Amino acid sequence: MTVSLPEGDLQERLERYLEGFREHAELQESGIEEDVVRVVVEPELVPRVLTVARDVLGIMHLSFITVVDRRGHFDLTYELLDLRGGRVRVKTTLEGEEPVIESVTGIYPTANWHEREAYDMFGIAFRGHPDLRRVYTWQDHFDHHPLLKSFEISTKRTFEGLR
Amino acid sequence: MGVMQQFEEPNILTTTTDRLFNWARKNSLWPLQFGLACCAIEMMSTGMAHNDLDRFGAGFFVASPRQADVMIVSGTVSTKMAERMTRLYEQMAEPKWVIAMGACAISGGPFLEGYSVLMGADRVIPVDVYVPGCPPRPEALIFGIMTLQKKIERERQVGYEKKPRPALVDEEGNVMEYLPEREYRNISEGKAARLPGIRPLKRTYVFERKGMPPKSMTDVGWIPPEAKKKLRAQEKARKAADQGKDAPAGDGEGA
Amino acid sequence: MLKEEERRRAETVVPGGRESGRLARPDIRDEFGLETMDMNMGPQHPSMHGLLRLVLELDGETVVRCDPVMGYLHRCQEKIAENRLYPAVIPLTDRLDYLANIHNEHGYCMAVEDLMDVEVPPRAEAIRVLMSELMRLASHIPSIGFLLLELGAFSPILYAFRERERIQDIFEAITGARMMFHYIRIGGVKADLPEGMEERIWNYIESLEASFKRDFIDLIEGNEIFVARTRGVGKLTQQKALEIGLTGPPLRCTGVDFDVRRDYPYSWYPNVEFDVVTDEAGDVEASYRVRVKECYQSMRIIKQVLEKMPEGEVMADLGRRLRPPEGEGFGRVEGPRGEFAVHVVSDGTDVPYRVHYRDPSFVNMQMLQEIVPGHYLPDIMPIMGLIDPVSGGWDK
Repeated sequence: MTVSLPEGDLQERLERYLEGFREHAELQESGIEEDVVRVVVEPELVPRVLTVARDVLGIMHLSFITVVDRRGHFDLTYELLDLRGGRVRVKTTLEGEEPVIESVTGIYPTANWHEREAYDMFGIAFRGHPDLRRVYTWQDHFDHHPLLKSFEISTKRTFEGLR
Repeated sequence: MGVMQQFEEPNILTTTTDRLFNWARKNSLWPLQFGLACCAIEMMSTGMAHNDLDRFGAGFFVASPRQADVMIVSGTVSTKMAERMTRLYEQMAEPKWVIAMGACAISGGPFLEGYSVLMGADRVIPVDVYVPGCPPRPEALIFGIMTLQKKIERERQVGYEKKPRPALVDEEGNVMEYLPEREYRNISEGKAARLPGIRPLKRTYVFERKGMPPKSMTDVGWIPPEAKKKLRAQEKARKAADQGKDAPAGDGEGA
Repeated sequence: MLKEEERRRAETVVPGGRESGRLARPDIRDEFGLETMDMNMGPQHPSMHGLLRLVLELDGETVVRCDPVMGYLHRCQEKIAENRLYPAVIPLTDRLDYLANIHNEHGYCMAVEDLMDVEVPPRAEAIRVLMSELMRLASHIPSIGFLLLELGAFSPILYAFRERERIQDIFEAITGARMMFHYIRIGGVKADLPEGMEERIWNYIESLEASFKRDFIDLIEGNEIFVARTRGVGKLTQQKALEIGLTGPPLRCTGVDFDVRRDYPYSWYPNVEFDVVTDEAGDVEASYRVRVKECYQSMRIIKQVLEKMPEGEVMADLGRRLRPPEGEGFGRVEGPRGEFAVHVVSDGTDVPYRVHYRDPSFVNMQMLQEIVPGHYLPDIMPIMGLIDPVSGGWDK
């Protein structure tokens, strides 16, 4: 079963993606800068935007999900590739100490482990994720989320005893 | 083996069998396949045709710890893996040795600050030879194995202060093959202390040399001339200060 | 590449269908009181691919459920990178995917150069491409060796490491190190190629082209055992592969031709010609063929770079203290295992605020959860050979 990848001029495709996003979802900001379609949305609209990307626009590859801890809120970035030169970056901001966001595993199944990593490192809970466990650290008893800015590391810190 | 323990002191019989056993053991060190990280690639490289470990008898990497003699800890030991590493170490049969290969196994290496990195394999198991490098060249690992061979040559069946004692002995003197299960989980959870009655292993040893190593081993080689002048000036100043200090100290003692 | 009768002979040796496992016969399970067995393929096991623990549920020899447990080599790279100056993060990135060091460094340096808007001189770009392709050779050849070592063959890995030693000698002459090069710096490359290096690389590539077929194709390809153990194993469809998020040789062996070098061109790749290698079958044997052909494409790229190498300096003029403006930078590289992307966030100080690595091994390992159920237990090793993960990559 062959999969067809998009064709055509890059700028036209990026314009088309931007139009598609603007039409189907309410965006806070959007624009094209240097061959990247940049879209900023509310956290609740992220699944809608990604569904639009996959079904309407035909973008098939989710490259990564990055979380940045901004000491008060979290910035999430979802980067989508249409495998022929186009990049779409969906950004959102999560407020609060224990943020919750809808999982996109149903839309892009590759997000499964990206979201597990985000949970492990930052403590972001993904509603609707089929298997939200820690992926790098001990699964039983490591109660910290390491990449938060409040978790400091140094050579003196012995992490509860042995290191 | 048991026959030799009848003697209390080394004699002609025990030294001969020592030489025989040590020769046999050092020339057929079978390593355990314990490649953890990047050093594993260099360890594999050492075992391959170009830098051949098989000429030392150590080319046969076994998968099961029961059949292994030496565990080459090659790569970063994370605390999650430290539990498994200790289990594997205790599953190995005596006599066994450990080579800590690479900076990460010696002391945590470049990842010293990590929250899940064990600062050196010798925090949980006793290490015999440390091979520095990141990763150590195959020649360095071969040098490490040869050093281990020299160390094995020195072993004696009798003549320790006490008889050679088994590794895990609890308070009543029973020999245990494994630690109780919670000890392993303690390593994983980060709790350092082992049970009080279990004596720690004392295989790691320091070279018993008298004084400093020979000058050739401390020679730095070429020093740029400016630095050399500065060093020589510092030496002169220090010698002058010592002599200046000697005189009042001598006076003080004399008086 | 096989002759007709050899192919026919190889195909008759394939055991009678993977569908004949008892998993497909749930009707007799209650009659005979069968149940599945939970088995742990622990973090230390005789495969060469690193510390991976698989919790398997087996129905006889057939795997019903496969759950990879990772984290046995977690080295907190992203956290430590937040305490290091920008150039000092490069040795850490070296140790991410330790069979593809140059690509990791390249990805990170591209991200920081994107952040700082630095123009890299063309000679530096050409040298980066040269080193990347040499590293790709030094990574694909041992991958083939590891695949065969896990199937039980010992000769190919000896030949593979012989070639890798020669490539490491070249790297040592250029960069000074056998494995952790720390060569690609922000703004260029550390130092120019030594004199006579182009000749030496050219001669080496010529000799490799001559001996590659003998060592890695003729010895392996028609072998009945190899074909029986790898044909039809790990069958991937294009849709499934894109859903899982595969990139690199696992994706290209299904037929999707996505290659970051051609589709998201970076560095000096627009100036070289190469083909993107795909195969239709989607199984382990197809991934072996893809890797072999990619080695030939790498050799082709190296020759073109050596012919067209521009003159000039090798490092942009950046000053000693790198203090990028606030913002984010993204870099994307085609590593030997797939797409390696780096996202660097800066807050104006000389220490990165956040570095995120998107490692191909991490994402490709999701394949184990989806594809392994239904296969026999010994098929797990060839499937690992298809993914070819490196544990420094999936555990960061």
